[in-house]
Amino acid sequence: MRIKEWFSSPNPCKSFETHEQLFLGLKALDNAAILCVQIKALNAVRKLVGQFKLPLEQVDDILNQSTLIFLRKITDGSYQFQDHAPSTYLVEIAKRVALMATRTQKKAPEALENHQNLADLDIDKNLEQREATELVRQLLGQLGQPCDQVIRLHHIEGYSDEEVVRQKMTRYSTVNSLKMKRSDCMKKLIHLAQQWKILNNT
Amino acid sequence: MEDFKQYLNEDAGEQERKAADQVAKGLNELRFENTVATVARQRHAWLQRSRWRRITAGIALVLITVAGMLYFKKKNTATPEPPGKTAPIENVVPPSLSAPMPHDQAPVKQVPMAQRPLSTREQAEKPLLRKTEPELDAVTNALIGKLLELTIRKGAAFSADQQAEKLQWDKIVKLLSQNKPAAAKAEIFKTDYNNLDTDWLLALALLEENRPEAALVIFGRIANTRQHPFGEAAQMAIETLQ
Repeated sequence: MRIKEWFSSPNPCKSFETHEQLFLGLKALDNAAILCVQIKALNAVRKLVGQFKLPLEQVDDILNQSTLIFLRKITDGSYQFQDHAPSTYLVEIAKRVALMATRTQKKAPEALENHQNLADLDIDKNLEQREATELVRQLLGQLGQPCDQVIRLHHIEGYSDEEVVRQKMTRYSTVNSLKMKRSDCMKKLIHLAQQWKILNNT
Repeated sequence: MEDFKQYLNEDAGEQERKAADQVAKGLNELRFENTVATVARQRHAWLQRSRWRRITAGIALVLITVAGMLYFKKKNTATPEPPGKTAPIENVVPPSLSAPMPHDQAPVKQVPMAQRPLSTREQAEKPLLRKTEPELDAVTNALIGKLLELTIRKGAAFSADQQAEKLQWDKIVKLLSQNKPAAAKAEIFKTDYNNLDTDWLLALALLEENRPEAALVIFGRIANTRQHPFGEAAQMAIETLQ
């Protein structure tokens, strides 16, 4: 079976014949759609890395970071579909991420001021999101099991309640009991976040 | 994404709503990160498969090319049939040609090599009648050989009533052929046949004894004799020796 998989290697873009179909897939956080747009942008990202004289190992990092930013923009509505290839926009993001990487490495081949579009990356917003991410990560750790697992499976890994129950991923054998537990855990999580905000005066 | 309002208390204050909003953002971001990480793993697997598929396809292409080249090379190279599988000649001959021939058209019976007549070339290369005398020069030796040939022919020309003369003649010629001029001379001097050309035989014996001057005197006498059976031969000998 594994050998068959190796040789079959289906084209991830097969399900997305038009740009719109791909955009809708990305909006729904469909893994196949994300893989498709990444593969379409991969060669351009490799060229960018070479162009900015960054180490080749950074191709993956730049592609992942760019995808993350792209997905955020699609979700919050700052990227609107205009019949253009989504991969073109991803490459544009990758270009700015690569420039940021050159700044990090103090290798800036061009002055960053020359790239006005860098503002589009919303550095402040990005920092705010990172802060929120770290906070939730920490609070989930504080909550411990089974809350951490219950919240992760649904809100982070994207499993439906039916799937979690069917595959017996948790100790809860019914959808209702799982939902009740998760609701309870979420309230605890929000409460912890509220306390943290009071403590840090934010 | 679920509606986070369901997790808020009915009398939720501003702080609680802000905290819920931050949790929603954080969870959303974690979900993106998780998705991107999962897709990154899928991308690696896909790229690896593609790479291997290209390598496999390349190897397959090379193998097919090599196999094709070998096939055509083998096809173009004529391979000789193994000896055991060679078709017999009679099978190759068309039936009309392999039919038996009429008696009068039958092929000439093959004569064994030892019994066949000598060819013209072989006759020309016939060995000398006598053994070459090493003390004599090549010209004299060749001349003696030629003259002996004529002498033998003369021996064959004896008539039936001249059998005694023929025997004596053959005996002397044989001795001359054996390079025994002294013995030949002894036989010549013993003979008393008037019609035997003993002068000719004596000249040959003198030649074999490497006495060409003496032989020339006799050859001159024969050449000057009218209608002598060895007249022409004597003249040739004189011309050769001089």
